[in-house]
Amino acid sequence: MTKDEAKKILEKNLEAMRKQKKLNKQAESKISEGDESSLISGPKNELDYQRMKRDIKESNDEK
Amino acid sequence: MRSCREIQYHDVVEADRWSGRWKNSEKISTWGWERMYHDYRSHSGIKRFDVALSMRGMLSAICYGVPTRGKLTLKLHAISRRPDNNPLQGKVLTIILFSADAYARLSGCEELWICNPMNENLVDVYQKFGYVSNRNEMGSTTHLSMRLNYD
Repeated sequence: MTKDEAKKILEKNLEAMRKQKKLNKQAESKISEGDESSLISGPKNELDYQRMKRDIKESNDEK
Repeated sequence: MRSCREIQYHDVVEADRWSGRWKNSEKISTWGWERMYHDYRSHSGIKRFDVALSMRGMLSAICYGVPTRGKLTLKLHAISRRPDNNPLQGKVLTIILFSADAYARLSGCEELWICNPMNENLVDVYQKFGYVSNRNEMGSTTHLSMRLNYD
């Protein structure tokens, strides 16, 4: 994808992205410093990690 | 100056050091970022969402994700942030989720998933951003999802 193609897609989605940005800003004002300090997500164990690896492989197979 | 760029090796080395700086064990990542870095690069040319967020040269947060299920879903597999002296305190999630939204649209995805939140407090936080909790039979949140609206 070229930069121009990417720009066109994002321009087409501008309104939807603005709406989401507004929602994100509202959420940002609602969460406390303590809330964000717990910001961490990821594989909790080896099984989750292997699922993640499957996703990576699947994505590679689909490309 | 704030920057949002591709994750480099030195970023994951630094992120692996963050674990020891959390006082609360619930916030310590259970995976190695260095291992994840290599696994994400194990397939050449794979489309991936990887973001290192920094401010004035200081790494603030990193996130890895990949489009799956026929590119219908962008799954964010791992997100973490600097535990202390974070120059983007309070802004990290907004920036990462906005970047993920843009990437998902560029890839033509219909959904965004945040996989494996570490605790239920965090589930509440993501829900404030419009994400919906998906639970397993034990009642634990496996992931949060959001359908993307296209105009």
